[in-house]
Amino acid sequence: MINREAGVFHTSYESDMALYALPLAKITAWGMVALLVLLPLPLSLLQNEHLMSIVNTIALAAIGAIGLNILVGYTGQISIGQGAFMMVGGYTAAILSTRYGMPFWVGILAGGAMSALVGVLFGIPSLRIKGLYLAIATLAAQLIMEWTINHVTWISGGAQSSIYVQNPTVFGWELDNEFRRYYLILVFFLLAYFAAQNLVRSRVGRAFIAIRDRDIAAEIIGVNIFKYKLLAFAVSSFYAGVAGALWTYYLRIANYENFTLVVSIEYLAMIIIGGLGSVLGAVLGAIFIKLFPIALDLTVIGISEGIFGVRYGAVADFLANFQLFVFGALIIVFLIAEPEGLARMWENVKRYFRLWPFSY
Amino acid sequence: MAAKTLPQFLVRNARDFPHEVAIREKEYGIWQQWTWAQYLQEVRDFALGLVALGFNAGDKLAILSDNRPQVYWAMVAAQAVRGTPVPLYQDSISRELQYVIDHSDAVMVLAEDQEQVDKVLEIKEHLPKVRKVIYDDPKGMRHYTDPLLTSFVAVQEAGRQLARQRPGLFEELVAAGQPEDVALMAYTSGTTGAPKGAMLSHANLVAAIAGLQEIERYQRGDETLAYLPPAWVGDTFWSLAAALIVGFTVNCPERPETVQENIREIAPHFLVAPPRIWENLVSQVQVRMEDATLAKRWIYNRLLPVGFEVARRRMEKRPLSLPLRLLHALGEFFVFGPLRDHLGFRRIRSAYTGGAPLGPEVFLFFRAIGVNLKQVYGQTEISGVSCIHRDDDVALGTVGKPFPNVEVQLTEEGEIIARGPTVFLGYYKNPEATANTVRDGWLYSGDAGFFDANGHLVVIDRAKDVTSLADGTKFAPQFIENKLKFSPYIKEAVAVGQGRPYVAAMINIDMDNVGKWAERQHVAYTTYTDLAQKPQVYELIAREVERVNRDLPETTQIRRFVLLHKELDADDEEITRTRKVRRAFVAKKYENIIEALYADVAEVPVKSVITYQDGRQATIETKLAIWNVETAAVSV
Amino acid sequence: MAAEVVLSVRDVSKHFGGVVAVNGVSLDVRRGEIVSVIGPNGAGKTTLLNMISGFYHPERGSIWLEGRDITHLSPSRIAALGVARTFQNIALFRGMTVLDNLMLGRHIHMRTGVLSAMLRYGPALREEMQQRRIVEDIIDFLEIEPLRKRPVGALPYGLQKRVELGRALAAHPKVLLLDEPMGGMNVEEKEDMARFILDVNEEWGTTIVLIEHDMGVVMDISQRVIVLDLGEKIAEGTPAEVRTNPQVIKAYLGAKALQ
Repeated sequence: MINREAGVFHTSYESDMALYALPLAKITAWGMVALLVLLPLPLSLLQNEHLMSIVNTIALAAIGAIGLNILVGYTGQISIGQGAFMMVGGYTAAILSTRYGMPFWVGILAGGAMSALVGVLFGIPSLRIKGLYLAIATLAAQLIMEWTINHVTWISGGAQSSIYVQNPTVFGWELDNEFRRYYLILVFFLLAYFAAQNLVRSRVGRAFIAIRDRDIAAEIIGVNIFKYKLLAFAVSSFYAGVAGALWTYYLRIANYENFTLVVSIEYLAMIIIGGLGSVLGAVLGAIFIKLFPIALDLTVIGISEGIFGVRYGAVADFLANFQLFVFGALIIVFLIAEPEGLARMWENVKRYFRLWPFSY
Repeated sequence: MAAKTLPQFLVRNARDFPHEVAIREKEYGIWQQWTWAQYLQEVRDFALGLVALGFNAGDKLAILSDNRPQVYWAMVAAQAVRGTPVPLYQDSISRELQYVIDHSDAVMVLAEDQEQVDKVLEIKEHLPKVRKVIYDDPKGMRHYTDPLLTSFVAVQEAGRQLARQRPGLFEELVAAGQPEDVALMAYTSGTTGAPKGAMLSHANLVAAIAGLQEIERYQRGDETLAYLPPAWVGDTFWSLAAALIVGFTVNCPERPETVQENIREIAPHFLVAPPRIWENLVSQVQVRMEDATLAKRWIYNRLLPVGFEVARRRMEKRPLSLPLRLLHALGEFFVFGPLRDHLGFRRIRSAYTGGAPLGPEVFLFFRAIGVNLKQVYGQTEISGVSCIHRDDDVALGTVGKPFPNVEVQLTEEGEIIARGPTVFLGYYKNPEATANTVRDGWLYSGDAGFFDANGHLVVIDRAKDVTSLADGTKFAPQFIENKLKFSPYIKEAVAVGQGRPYVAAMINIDMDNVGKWAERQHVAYTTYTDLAQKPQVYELIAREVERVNRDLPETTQIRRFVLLHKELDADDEEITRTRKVRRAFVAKKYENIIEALYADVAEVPVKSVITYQDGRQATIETKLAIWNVETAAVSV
Repeated sequence: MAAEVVLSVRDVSKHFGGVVAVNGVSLDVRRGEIVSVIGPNGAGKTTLLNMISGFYHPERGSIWLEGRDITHLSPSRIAALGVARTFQNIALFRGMTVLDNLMLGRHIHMRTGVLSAMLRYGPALREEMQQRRIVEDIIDFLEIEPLRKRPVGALPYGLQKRVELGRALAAHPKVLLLDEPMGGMNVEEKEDMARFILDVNEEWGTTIVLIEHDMGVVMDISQRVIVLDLGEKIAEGTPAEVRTNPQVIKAYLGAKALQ
């Protein structure tokens, strides 16, 4: 109803191929960016650092999920090793900043690069194996990485395999609270988001999709499958590495427990729920997976305290289990209702109003 | 020097606002655009190219093409060297082309592409006066060696060479142009006889646009779409004359199939369309709404009547109550605005229907959704348009009032006649017809009509088509046919009854809409003929006929009808290229069917020869059912 | 008119298990030609095509493109050297738009890598726009403007075939291999496709090798016809020569009698 498409015409390929070609889409996109930039304002007025930290967690997760979606959703190569690749990034950054005194941005980029390198290495089996077999191979990668970092003390720093890092400093401005750290994460999130949106509609992105959809046809038009599969692994792990490094700076500690197999599976869940093969979907999935347990907590606490008068501590155990149960059930319901994820749901909503009052 | 000819207006535009966009065409996926300066350059090159090829003042350039910038450039170019463009219907078959090209004495033909070139070359032996055939689109032309052929760009290249040799030549030629020069020769297809070449001068066209501008006030920066056949005078009127004189932007669609999509992209400020397009749009909306979700349909069905009510009240200048205003605001938000956006009418200030009367329901529909649809009326012989609705004075069933510079009167027999600076110069090489049409400066339109109480002109029918039943009851077949054609399921209709006891109708179903309806009803069918003869389809159409009958005086209601086995086709000479029924021809061709409509039979055998696209012919034999319809009490 | 040989197949053989698919077949394709390889089902036509495009490698014999041995190259290498093809059962990327499918056809002529793609503004966008313009020529040529932004999977079969031809053409191939381009089409679609194939050949001088099991339309558009039967070449010549060749008649009648 508020969508306006009449009168939108393109006199150049650039505008015809723009990411947001319609005025409403353009306005929405800019509005979202503005919202994200201004978000800390109300939260800092409320002095609600906790809420800010939730947003930070989501944005960090979104970077990793976008990366994983490039590999799994766009290129069709299943991976349950995203946690491991994040781990590489995290430890690389930690080592560089604590032992070599490198600035944080070097740590982040080097974390991404190192992770990309390792990703390519573990991507090599994808040339021979597909589907579930590849999933198992990446699982092996996850376990190998976990073991290595746990047992090679040069990397893990010994005690509890943890390396403590300093708060990053930008132009003498120490990122010592959630609001400040938010801006660091936001910059990387926006870069990650738009870089991915650009990538997937480029020559490289089309080649990825071609491999996913029909690898024989991809070969016949000259796509070097070997090269592009490895490229997908590299890009995906780079994203993971950057996310891992940021995560480390954010927590001020690199610890393998933040990057376990469970984390890898969590990321897979994000992109499946968000929508495979959609950059926006990865973000929506990250929001869902990170926000939902918290919302569930609050609901259960609200119900138990408000209605039954039971204090939170008394239900903590039950809550932890209940949360997992509902969470699992919900994922199943979601996948049955819309196998193509939140991104598709969002598309459907947009379509409904875009076609209004028609239905096609 | 004030501009008096169209090329002089072009020169003015290129001088006064050279960098504004003059024309666009969607090609290669985006809208390519040319400013007025570039437009002039293209015209100059082509005009001088024509000169280089030996095209002289007074020569004719036949044009056979879809709407492309090159068409308009070529038209102005021919005018610039004081020659005359003769646009032809691009779907004409060779036989039709042969007559017009030869009769017009065209020395050159601009043909759009291989297909059009083929049609011209096929008859080149019969076109001794044609010295060059210029093609625009080189695709597939690589191996054509006919010496007659040259390309648009080659002509322009020759023009650039000539410009280097004789700088200032173009400007001299344009300056020499006189208002009395023939600016356009438009062949009117006519429902009888051979086509006649109506000659319009620059002065005619300039006066017509001046008359229009006093009412419509187009501005530079306005957008419109040029998609109707260039051979139709209206296209020259809007896309060439008005565009050059006012300086607005003309947009050419990508392909004929994409017109609707392109309209939505451009969102024109004004647009003209014949009734069949408006009718089509309404059926499309209806069909798409039927398939919409329940909630959407519910809102649409609640709010559309509000739009109708408001449109009616505004037309009758009755006040709107507050609740009605509120409802209308809701309608605007939920239905009308979105519909206008889908149809591409978001920015439209004026929409016009012309060429034939439009059913009141269709007319009201567009006004209900907030499109300022107005009726225009005119003939080729009066430069296209002579009467139009004013924004604050629109009425159902009328064609509005004359242009301020045109005087319209009725003869004693009720024929509409008009006088003014827009009346044409005459028919080419046909003084007899000219003398018949223009008498004492009055143009005899051949249409019957009257003025209503508000001074609006009402056109009833072609004067010669108004006829009477055996008992002397007068009726206008077209009036009845137009009512039938409002049904989304009826594409074409022919009402008969001259000297007969009652009115009967031969009907063409609308294949698209009836086909979709049949699918929904699980009625299986194979061909058009098969579908048309399904009893279920007859039932469907009978209901439509009964609905029409309710709006007709009892004496002229339709009593019997038949669904024809084939669509009336311009290639079979049953209708004109502008989709007007050739009554005499049809009456003769379908004599036995008409007889059966007045005989006590329930079906009639037909045999008919069908010509396929590729020229093969086949005979089909079938039986057509004839149905009776209940007459209805008059509801109005 | 002895133009140079672009594609040369020399004495190639291929077995699957114990079955001989192609046995000692040789053929030369000259620049600008339309050559048809026909034969009954199971004659080895598709196997031959798959060897040329690198999906199979022959056990014996060699394949040369412009004097270069491509016998053992990978399909993507061979594609990059200028061999494009279509498939009997259409191998388009169904979820993508017509435009994206055709842009993929330009893959080998494009350069953009990951980093510039992520930046977009600059070289990547410039290249994207240049290549789009080239693709638009193909869209115009094949008259599929109204379909540009439609997903391929939603198109009718005949149009999908046309889009697939477009994707192959987008590569501006030196040799275009068409695997049963008219298979499964009605008469009108076949005629359209035949016209497009002829136009492609005429407009761009593209060398075309097409295989068909139906002798019908291909005879009208080919300059030379090669007939395979049971993996062996049994005839070669102009359509007229082949049509009257007793061995060909026997192969076809024999095959028909068996069906």
